[in-house]
Amino acid sequence: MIIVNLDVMMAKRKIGLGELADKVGITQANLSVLKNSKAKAVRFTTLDKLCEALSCQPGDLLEYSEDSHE
Amino acid sequence: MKNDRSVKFTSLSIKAALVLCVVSLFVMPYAAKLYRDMSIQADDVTVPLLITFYICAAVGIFILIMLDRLVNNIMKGEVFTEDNVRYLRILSYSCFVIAFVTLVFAHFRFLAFIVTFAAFFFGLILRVIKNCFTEAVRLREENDYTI
Repeated sequence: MIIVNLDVMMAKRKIGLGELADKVGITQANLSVLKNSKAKAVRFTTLDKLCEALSCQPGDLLEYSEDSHE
Repeated sequence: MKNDRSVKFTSLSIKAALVLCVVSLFVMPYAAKLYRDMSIQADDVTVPLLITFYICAAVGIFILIMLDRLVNNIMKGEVFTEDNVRYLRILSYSCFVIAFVTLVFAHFRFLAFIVTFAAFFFGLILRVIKNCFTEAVRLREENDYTI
């Protein structure tokens, strides 16, 4: 399964959910869904904006784990 | 909006059908007697006819209530939901119940087989629509959770 490490990157960059949501241009609710690994898909445009806002690579945000348990 | 009016018209039609269905419960004994008096066939089928009718009427009222809930959900903008899939499944099974009951009655009057066929056909159509709704619910959820 894919693990979203958004919270880790947010902590590293010391940025809050509201501030990041404003920078990326999506709602806090949607960002929260992504942060809690509830999302079913991520648009490239969203990923692009997240990487830009957090100055990181997609691999820093997403991680594959062998464990398929959801 | 034109679609709003259409849905409201559907809702009103369902309520009118519900009233007609309830009224028919009181009228049916007289209609059955009238049928017996007018029938050219020797056997009296009043009792099986009434039993078949009351079972079908009960299922029919249930169907109309389910349809009303379905249309209410559509009016609220909740179209592709698990609830609506459940209502469609129940509607489909209800049609199959009517098909079975009229199939039994077709033993007395062969023409009842037309109702059996129609109910079975409606049941099948509703099942296909239910399957489409199931897929639509999955797609909506996927879309809702695409960030």
